[in-house]
Amino acid sequence: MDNLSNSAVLSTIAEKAVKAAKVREASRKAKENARTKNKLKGAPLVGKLASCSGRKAEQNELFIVEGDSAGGSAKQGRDRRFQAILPLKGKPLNVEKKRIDQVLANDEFRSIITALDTGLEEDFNINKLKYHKIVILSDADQDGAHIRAILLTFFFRYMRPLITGGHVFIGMPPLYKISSGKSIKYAYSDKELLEYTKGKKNYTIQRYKGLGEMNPEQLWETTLNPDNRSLIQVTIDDVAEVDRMVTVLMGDKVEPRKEYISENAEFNKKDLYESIGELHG
Amino acid sequence: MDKDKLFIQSMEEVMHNSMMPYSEYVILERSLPRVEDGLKPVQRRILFAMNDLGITADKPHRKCARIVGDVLGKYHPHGDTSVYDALVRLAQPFNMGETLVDGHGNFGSVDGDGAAAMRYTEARMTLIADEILRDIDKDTVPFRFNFDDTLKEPELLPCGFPNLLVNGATGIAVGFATNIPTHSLSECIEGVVARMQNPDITLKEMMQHIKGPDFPTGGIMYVNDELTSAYKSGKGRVIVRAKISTEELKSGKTLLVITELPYQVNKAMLLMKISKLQEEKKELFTDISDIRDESDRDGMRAVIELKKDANVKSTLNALYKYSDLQISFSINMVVIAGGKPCQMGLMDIIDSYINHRRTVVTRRTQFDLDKAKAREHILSGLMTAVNDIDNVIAIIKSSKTAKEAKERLMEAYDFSDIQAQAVLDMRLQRLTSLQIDALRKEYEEILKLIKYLESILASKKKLDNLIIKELEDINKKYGSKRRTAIIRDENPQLETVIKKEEAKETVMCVYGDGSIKRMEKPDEDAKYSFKMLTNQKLYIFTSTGNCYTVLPKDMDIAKPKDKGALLSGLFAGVEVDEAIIAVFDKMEESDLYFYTEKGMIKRTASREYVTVKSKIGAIKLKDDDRVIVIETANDSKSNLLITKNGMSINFKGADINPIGRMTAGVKAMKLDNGDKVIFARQVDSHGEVIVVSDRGYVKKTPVIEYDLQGKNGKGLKTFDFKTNKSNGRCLVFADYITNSAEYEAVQKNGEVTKFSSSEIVFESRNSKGSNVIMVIMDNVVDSCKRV
Repeated sequence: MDNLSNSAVLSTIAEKAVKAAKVREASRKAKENARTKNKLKGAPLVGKLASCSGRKAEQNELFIVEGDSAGGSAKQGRDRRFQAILPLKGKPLNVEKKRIDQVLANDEFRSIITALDTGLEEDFNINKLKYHKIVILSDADQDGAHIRAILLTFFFRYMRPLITGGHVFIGMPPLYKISSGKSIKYAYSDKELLEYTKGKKNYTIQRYKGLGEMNPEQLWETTLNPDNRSLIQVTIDDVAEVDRMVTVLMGDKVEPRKEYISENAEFNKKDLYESIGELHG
Repeated sequence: MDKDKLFIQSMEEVMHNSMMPYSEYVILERSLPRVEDGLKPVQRRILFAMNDLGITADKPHRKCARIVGDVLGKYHPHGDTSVYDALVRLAQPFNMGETLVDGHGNFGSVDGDGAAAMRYTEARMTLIADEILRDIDKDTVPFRFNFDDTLKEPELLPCGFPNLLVNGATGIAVGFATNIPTHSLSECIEGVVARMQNPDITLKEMMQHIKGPDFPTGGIMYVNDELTSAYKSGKGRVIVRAKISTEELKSGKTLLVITELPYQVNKAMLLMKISKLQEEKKELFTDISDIRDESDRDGMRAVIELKKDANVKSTLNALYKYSDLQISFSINMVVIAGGKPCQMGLMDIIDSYINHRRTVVTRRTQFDLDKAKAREHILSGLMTAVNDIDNVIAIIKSSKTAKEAKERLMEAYDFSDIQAQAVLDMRLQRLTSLQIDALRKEYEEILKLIKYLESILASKKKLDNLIIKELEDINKKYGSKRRTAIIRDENPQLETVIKKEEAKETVMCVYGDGSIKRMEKPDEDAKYSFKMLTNQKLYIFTSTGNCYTVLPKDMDIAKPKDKGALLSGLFAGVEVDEAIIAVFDKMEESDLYFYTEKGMIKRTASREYVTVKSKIGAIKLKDDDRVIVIETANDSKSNLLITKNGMSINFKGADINPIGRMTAGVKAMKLDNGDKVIFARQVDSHGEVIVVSDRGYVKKTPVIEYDLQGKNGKGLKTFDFKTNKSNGRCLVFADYITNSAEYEAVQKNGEVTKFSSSEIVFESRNSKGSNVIMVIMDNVVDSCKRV
């Protein structure tokens, strides 16, 4: 090997291959572990997941809710026939920066994996999916947005068919409550807020920052009830583009993220709520 | 069922729409300080809330939980720990250039201990924190709504001294991070003043004032051009070392005494790391004999004790190189300026601060001026009224209502509404001559004040002078000497002195009584004697299944008459009946056989015993079992075992597989109840086996008579005990020889009989032996050994 001019390249490639093999081996073991452990434990989700009573997977919905405080009101506000609630504690791991064995060791992701029952990556079996709507329900603040991104990254990396199959949704809690007299309206976007308040005078606006601020019945009415709620369905048009985006935004390299943020960030956004008076003149 | 209002969004859109607001938020509102006041939002909110609560330096302390509650409920809708942690940091003198919170109770330590829970601790603002908030109520800074739009909070604080430089900052946002060192308050103020007085000042000249970072924990900083470039660009590094002095003890030992640490080094972790290094890099840290923390209420004092004649310099260098006694502090000055994150050099930071102060002082002056003008307006009305008081009273008296009086006054004297009202509100005592004088005086003074305030607003020079004066006042009040010493060093490369102890030849002896000696010459009386190097390990295996390793250099050289060291003197946890079974000076590429009293045999690769530890388990033993023989495996030989009851087995060991260190091995021989193995050894096909019974009967048999069998059988008889036991009840000794040997048998009463192998008659394997040792009455042969 020494007399080859490209021996250095060769050994680099070989090293890389060996490393990759080791990682594959570790992840295979971890996956096996996770699977067997789950089997042994039988019902590891008791006390975590509030499952639904309906048995038809096509009709069932799983709400992955940010934080125990919001999880509580979601459990009380849901329709238990077809809606299951899985509260997450704090911020989940950013899977883009972790190896699979670390991901599988994480309690939050394990509950998601067990709840969905589809398996991961090449073992993924969409036919086993227990809930055909998976709704990510996080607070309407910046940390909620972060959690949303982290969960989507996880689905994209490990359960991609869920997204391509149109099973992943984002719940939309209202941003504002506008009450004038006895009528109560909820606005789900700044635009709606402007529409509702146009031309009106005696109204008060409550601004929702967290799901925990709402009563169970309010949560049902605004966010959970299929008759009233709004959902965003997440789709993938261009896998390569999504892959690039996830790598830049969530990956372990700082420079590209810094560049992306510098290019796209709008640091001097105006808070619409504060200026609503001016907008109406 | 699908009545959902459904919006469809592609994943890249969702990712963008989620991560951008989060990044913007974390960058602007969480992790990075603003260039003007050097505060992160949570810090600003804590100070503002404390000011709100009136917990200033002249008031008693208040419970931290109260402060945290206020900050959470009013301005900072996040976790309580994030607020409390930030509050604690503001109070820690080892983190802050100047503490802004005066903590009462346990607020943590340089050992990394956390603060007590917030229900225990109390806090108030420090005096200097007052300077950050001074004039906040004079419309000096912009305010905005809090999270639920019920209260207003400041976007910035007035900041009477350059807090960003003085207190530094660390934080990690998304895509951006910051690490700004702390600086000396006096130097920073001098620097700011110098820049204001001479806008053309160069960075080099500026560094005459601000000489470099100044850490609250002191230490020694090595400064070169790298610092200049860090100050220029905002990115770079400086080397900081602990302050270490040496003390000589009477015993000749040297102490390295650490009194100051590099910034943000955890003392407990540091000492732990050093003691770990001592293990990992023995050759470098061999001179360290003890590490202890003698810190107390008089201050920090961590001691590293060196051995006699230690090489202080090389040990110190090794410590600097491998431990946090020397750190490289990365400077990365990223701040929020103009509403976005930017990396800034020293001059830009100073300029931003100066601009901020100009704005603040201008706004304050304008505020004061407006107030003074309003007062002047009223006073001039009063003056007019007092000067013509009789007519004023006449107008009031002739008016029907207050409203009419006011209107008539306004008309008569050209008063404004406010002036007329003030006249009506005036009390009669104001008309005393003294009071009229006072009024006049106040009026003159207010005119003077207005003139002064207007002059400040009119002249940039005057404004700057005022700012400078206020800065200098703060310097006079709070300024202090720099804490981190600076050494100008063009090339802070460490001279790497790596000291390796020369390995010397020496002799290690282990005696029959279990004592161990390091000698200069081999000793003929020793059971084992090895010529070896001082850094080469001696492996000692014992009957209870342990393996101990001894480094000759750890032992002093003994003289022949000195007593040796016992295992129990060298190691902890040695059992009373733990006897030395085998000693090796090296673990070669061969296997070891372990034989136990209960007939087990174990084969293990020697290299499994090569370890850094001084004591490891060699074999797993059943209860009451003990190791009797350990030898190096040789596959050309067979394994012969002889038991107390006169049984024997001879098998080929080649088919025994080597197994792990802490295992029990396999059965070599099936033993009757109460029987035990007294002899085990690998034998050739030539040579003789000698056995000795307790009644002194001895026989010699060619080893060829011991037929090879499979292992784990009952084996063959090797001694024929007479039914009346006159030739013995059991065997006490067996041996295998290829040459003649001399033996010594000891009886219960102490009688010693010597005999030679050549005197003994050849007999067949299963025979009765012949009497060689005279055993009379109930005496028995206790032991026998080859001499």
